[in-house]
Amino acid sequence: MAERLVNRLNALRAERGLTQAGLAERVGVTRKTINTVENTVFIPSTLLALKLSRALGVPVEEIFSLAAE
Amino acid sequence: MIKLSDQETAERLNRRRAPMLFVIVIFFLLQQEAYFSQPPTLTRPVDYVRLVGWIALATVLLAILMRGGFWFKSAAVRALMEDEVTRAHRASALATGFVATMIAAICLYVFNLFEPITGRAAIHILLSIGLGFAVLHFAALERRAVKDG
Repeated sequence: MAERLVNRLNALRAERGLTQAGLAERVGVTRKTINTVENTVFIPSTLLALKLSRALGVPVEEIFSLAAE
Repeated sequence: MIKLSDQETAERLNRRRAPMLFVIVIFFLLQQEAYFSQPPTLTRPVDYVRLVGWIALATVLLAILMRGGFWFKSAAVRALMEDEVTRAHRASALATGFVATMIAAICLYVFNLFEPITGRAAIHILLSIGLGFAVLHFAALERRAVKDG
């Protein structure tokens, strides 16, 4: 069974009242990176996933999860 | 004048890079028409100018593809622009360029059985196709990435 990565980055960011640019600044990347991760165009590295987790104050599993297709 | 943060500067340059690449690569590919409609004979100084111009543009395109461009910006801004999304786009674009070059090489090989092609013309075609496809793909991926989502 194929699996795909889904994320709640957009929702978690919105809950904290952060813009893409604001989150990008916290993580130390560009808005482009946040945008591509939110749109599931790009699967981030473990390093970036951990940075996002730290910036949002939630475990990585709360941001990213696997969904069966 | 408002001083932009490194993030804001990188964001602006990211937005500028994709259209800039499209313009340069289209200009680069349009040069092919001039090259093949009037192949340089290397008997006139203007032929050398054309060839050197084409090589210079190809080198600049390759450098932008591999290093991202904007060399006069600060190291911090360039590091932000060289993030993992950009590196992934580059890897994908290089794969596209490689496949395009291989297909073009196979076509040239077959074509050469019927119509002789000079070595310079073959290199010109392969370089143009490989670099052109790679840069176009990179620009398209970057453009999609900077679009508001």
